[in-house]
Amino acid sequence: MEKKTISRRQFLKGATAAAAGVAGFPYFVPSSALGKAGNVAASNRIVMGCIGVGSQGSGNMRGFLGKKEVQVVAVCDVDKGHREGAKKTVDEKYENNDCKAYMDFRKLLERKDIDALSMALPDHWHSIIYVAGARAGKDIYGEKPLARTIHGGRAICDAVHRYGRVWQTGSWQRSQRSFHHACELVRNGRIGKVYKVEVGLPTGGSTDNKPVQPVPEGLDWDFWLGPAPWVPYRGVCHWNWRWMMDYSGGQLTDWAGHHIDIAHWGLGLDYTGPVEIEGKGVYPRDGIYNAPTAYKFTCKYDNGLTMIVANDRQQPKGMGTIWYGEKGWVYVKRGRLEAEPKSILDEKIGPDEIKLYESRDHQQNFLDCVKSRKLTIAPVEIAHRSISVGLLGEIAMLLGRKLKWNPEKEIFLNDEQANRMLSRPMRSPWHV
Amino acid sequence: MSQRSKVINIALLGVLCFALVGEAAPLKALIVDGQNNHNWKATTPVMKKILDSTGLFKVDVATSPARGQSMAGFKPNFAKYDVVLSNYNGADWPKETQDAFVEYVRTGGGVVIFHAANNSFQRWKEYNEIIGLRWGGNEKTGPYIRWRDGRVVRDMSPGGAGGHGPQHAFQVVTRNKKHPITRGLPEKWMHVKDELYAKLRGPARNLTLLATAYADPKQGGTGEHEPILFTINYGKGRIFHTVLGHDAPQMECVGFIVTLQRGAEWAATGKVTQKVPEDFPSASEVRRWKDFTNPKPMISSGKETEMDELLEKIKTYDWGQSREPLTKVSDLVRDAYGSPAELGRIEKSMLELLRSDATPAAKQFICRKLSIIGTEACVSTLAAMLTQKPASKQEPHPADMARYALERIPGAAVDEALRNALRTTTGKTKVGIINTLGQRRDSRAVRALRSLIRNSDPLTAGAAVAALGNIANPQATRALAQAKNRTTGKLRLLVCDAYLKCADEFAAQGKKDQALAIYNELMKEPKPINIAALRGRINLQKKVKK
Repeated sequence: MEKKTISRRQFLKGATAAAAGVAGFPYFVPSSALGKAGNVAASNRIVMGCIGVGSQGSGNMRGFLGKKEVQVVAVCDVDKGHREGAKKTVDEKYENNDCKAYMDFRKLLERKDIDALSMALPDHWHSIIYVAGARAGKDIYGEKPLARTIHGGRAICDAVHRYGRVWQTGSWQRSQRSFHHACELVRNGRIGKVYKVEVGLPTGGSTDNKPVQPVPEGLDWDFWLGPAPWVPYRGVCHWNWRWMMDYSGGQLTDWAGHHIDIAHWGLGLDYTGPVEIEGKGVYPRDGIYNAPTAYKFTCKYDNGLTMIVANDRQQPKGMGTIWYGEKGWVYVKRGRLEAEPKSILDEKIGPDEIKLYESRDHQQNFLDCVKSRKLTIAPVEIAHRSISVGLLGEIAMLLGRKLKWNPEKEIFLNDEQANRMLSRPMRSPWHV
Repeated sequence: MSQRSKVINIALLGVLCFALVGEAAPLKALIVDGQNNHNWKATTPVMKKILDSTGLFKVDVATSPARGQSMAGFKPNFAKYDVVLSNYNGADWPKETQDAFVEYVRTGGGVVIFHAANNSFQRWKEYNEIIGLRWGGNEKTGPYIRWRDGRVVRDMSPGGAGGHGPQHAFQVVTRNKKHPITRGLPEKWMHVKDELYAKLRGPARNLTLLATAYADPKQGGTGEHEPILFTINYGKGRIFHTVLGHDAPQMECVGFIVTLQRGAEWAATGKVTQKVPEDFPSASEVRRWKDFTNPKPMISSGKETEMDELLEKIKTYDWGQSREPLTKVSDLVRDAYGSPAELGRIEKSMLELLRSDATPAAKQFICRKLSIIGTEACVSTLAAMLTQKPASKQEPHPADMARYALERIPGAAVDEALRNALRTTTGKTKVGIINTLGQRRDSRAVRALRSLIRNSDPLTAGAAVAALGNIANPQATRALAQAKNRTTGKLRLLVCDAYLKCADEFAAQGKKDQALAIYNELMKEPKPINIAALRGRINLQKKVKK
């Protein structure tokens, strides 16, 4: 045991820095792409495939379609309606019939002409499909939360690092001026030493009971379930999968990749995690949905800081992130930035102060990094650390007891049951 | 009440009982308990009070070590007693204790077997001869005993031993009015809501059937008149066996109380001196005496009872139905944390459900729970599911359910069961088991996985390769190195990916030369493997510089 001083993951983590720094590492080879003429020569476009083209996925796809340096050549979805709709959107944009629609992502990944992927799938699919994408040598714009389990997230980080892929998480708040400014103020000590952060996320909706029913035409239900335990179709699939713990952790894990992510950014805790987690969740006791509707948990970090994550109704400030320091506070949410004292907001960050990564267009940042091979504003390890807080809270609430966590080794120190919950057995034949 | 004053009260109660019976208590009774999938902590005190109230017995209790602990020191002195009552269903007693028990019975000791005590010691031949019929076994265990057309029938048809439908009140019919235990009892009497044990099998030698109950198919029964009360003669020993009394509330039935009191006296002496009370239940109405059921059992929290009732309900759970009982079970499992004894009892009850004809939805739920609390005690039940087939495509595969639990349960016995199942399964089931062995990083699976790389099914071969990459020990690395030169196409890509993981593992352990050799070898592969190999090399150099 003595000899095993660092784990495989820690070895790979070393690669994070290398990803940005190593010169002469020209993996991005412009593909020969054909399509409607634009400002960018066809041969210099980034050829993309889009996997998961439901609500979020088709939105992301439209964003990439609007980028002149992108050529979308393939879409993939287990729902025929989604994939045919997506193909139509792509073909209309390029005024041709070239976009290929796939049911099975593995077929799309075999295509050597595709450089990059845009992926937006239910959380329970993330680890399998993100790892497969990295292993196929593709750069990835992947939706948050990074993974459904902590081991799943670690496997994604490993694969992205191992294959030297450019990764951008859909945590787009990082590319917004207000969030960036709030984080820079906190990082540069404008409110003094921070002792507490409150993170408010949405409250869950009501549950519902639904009978077993026939699978709709065009949906491959077995494929949609993938690694999750087999259950019959009960009318819940797109969008509402979020309220079922086989596929997601509810509003908590959906939004952890936003406001917890921002909290970490402001604190400079992007590459670590809490050491103690304790809290309480309110779970629907009946009906098809079982993710927590109300939740509140406290995380302690080893620098003494406390982070309280809760649904908005249990937070004094509601939605968003508020950092409390010895000299005041900063509060940010979508469309609002406040501080005490107010004067802080007008302060400029000086040339010798900490400058946080700046991006004003999240998708563009990804494309720029695909070309430059630099680290994006929301790289994979950071995404892993953001969702880890949500997943740790989920486990602590489900078990109903205080858990001690080692963020370096990523194991619980005091609870064997909790450690079992770091990964989930997958239905055959799926594996990471 | 403080713990201390509770203890004092219990002690006073004992003195009081002793004082009441005084010198006129010639019969010595011993209740054996300590392990049971039933609520023995609640039922033993009730049993003791029932016996105490006759004024005939002085009752001792011998409690075994808890489940999982060494039984070596468990040696009750049976020979001291006139009757031994078993409220025990658990781990095997030490050989010495078993021998002492058999000798005690053979030489004339009395025994009372109570409800789940007949589930215990499936492999102990003499015990099964002593109890006559048991829960657990098959046609090799012995016949079913049925009452058909006015006589006892030994039914040798094949099938499992033991079962019951949902709890309900049922009528007990006396089949032998001349036996001292049943003499003077009404021919028919109603028993309170309880489990109606059915399909018991056993040697059934020297068995006298005293009473039966009709197991109504409408209540999940067999359609047979099942043995409820019976006696056995073993050597000079007398055994009274009652299958009634699932938990304390069921023991309030006057019929249960009176037959237990009479049965214990008969087992101890061969005679019954007690009178049948006036308010014995009638053919249509149950009758309860609540004097004996302590509203607050002395030790138990009562959770186990609730758990068993919930699990009984869950047996018929299906998707789309209310999952409230499931939620309650989850609560109880969570609250049992920190009590290995309680978790062990829950585990045992859950395993029973998995072995029953419960719905696939119920079994899936139970496997989810066992994935968190399960121990190596789960292995045989779950391993059996690995080779089962689903009844239709519209239900989860038993092997997937079993793996959901097994994958997370620590222990070498789990690894071994998975490796064994690898040999007897094919197709997707085999793939799942390979994946689970990889997740568990079972180094002893390497040899089997290595040969699976050549499997004609690409899913199986790919899974074996990925599992070796997860295990990533020197043996797995060698297997992948060899496989690399023998494979082509997609499989070769997977082999290279797994081989890279081995190199990363070497690098992380500081074994730079081994790591470098693999990276150099993989530099010759096409994209994206060569890129990954280059990165590995650069990373290694950075580590060395530091």
